[in-house]
Amino acid sequence: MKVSFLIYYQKNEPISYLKSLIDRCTKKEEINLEEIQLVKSIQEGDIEALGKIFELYKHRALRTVYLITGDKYISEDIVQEAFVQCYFSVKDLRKPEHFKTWFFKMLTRMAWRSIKKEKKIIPTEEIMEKVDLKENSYSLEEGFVQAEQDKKIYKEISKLDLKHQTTIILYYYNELSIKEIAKVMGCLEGTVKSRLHNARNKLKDALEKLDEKEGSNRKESGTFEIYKTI
Amino acid sequence: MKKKVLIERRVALLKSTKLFKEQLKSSLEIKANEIDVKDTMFAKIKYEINEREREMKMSKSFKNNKMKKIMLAGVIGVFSISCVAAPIIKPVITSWIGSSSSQATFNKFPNEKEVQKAVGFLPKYVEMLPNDFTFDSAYISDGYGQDEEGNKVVSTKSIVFDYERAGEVQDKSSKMLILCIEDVPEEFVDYGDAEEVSCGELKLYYNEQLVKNVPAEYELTEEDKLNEASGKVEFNYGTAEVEEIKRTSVVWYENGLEYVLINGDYDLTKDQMLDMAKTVINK
Repeated sequence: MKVSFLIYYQKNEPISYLKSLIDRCTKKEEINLEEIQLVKSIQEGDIEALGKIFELYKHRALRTVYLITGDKYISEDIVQEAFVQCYFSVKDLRKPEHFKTWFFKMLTRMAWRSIKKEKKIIPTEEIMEKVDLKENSYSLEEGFVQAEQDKKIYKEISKLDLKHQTTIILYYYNELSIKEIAKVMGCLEGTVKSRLHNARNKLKDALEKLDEKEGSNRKESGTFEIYKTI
Repeated sequence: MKKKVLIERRVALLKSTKLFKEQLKSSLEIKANEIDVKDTMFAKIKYEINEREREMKMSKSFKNNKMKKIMLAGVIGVFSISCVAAPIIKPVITSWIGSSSSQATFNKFPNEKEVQKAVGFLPKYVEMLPNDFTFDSAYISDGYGQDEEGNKVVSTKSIVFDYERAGEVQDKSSKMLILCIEDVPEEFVDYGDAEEVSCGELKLYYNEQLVKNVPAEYELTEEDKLNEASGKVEFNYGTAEVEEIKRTSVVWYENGLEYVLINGDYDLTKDQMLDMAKTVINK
């Protein structure tokens, strides 16, 4: 199927941005030969190979689960269990090159089950209170405004239903392609696109309402105008 | 002019959309950076893997041994009692876990009321079996089947009747004759490659296998691995020395219960085993 893209851009827009845009639309799964070899070794029971895979995936895995669950302790438990399950179940993975999506599929399912089991998502107000602005190097007034904006955006993300939330996290944080997200979530690529689109619209609406409610004029930062334009 | 306005609007839209997406990404990254991986995490993962591998080995070790003879360092045995023919049922259950006290529940032949109270169901069982076997003791156990993610799929309860033959030397750990009766849905029973024999409306499944009992730290040889993979030999871990025994069994399913008659190393033919099974069925 031939697909045409009509892209409007300003002259000073970096080409790299356009390339990344096109890549994200048509990205194939990256094949990492070293990783494939490690996965095959784990399939043969090599626990040291699991250690190397752990080093490659640990940060992304833990932070993805934390973004979904909002609980540090539960996130650690889930990630630990995921790697243990990975060791025992990876024999069933017929194509080692699909390890990334296979692993994230298992991880997200475990995170979802945990949320349903715990029957709660920790209120974002509680989490937000723990954010130390100094740790994020926000010392100027502008930085404070930015930090507040980040808080609001995450708060609204966490209010989305699990599937929309996970789609947003996998796309923007993990930078998975549409195809990869479809495999992780066990749905069609069209569904992923639809969820992304709906999630973005919901976020924009929510943030716009929030801004209007607060009555704050963010013209200087350009944020208010962004939502208005859309 | 109109076209220029249109283009400008589209550029503004793209720019603002891009900015919004960058803000989404930024807020997620800032949130995600609140957590970091502890140095000890992989050590915990390794430990957990080793523990589960040990449990899996141990869960095989008591499957076919007499409960009264399962005394490993004073630890109450953890064993899987059901589905002798095939412990792994696809596609859901990947392992069976069970536990029982090392002390017999009944040291004299129990009446129906006692059995019903102990296990919650009333099976067919007899005090004496052909070929000079008489009741010795009975054990109760609880178990469950779990899927690969450790979720409990089905819970089970079972009673094991232990029989002894008069005049036989009983101190040899390999000899046993037991009747295991388990309350388990038939969908979880797998008869494997056992030979099917009809008995009225029931189907009996006869199986012969070599069992190798080995110490917990025993390392499988290449030949062992081949034999285990082909199903020729079954390995049980937890004995003091390596011993080989011939095991025969008859399995049948009746009225919601799985019956497994297991002979460990007694000199019994296939017909003798089937006769004993029919004695229970015809009770």
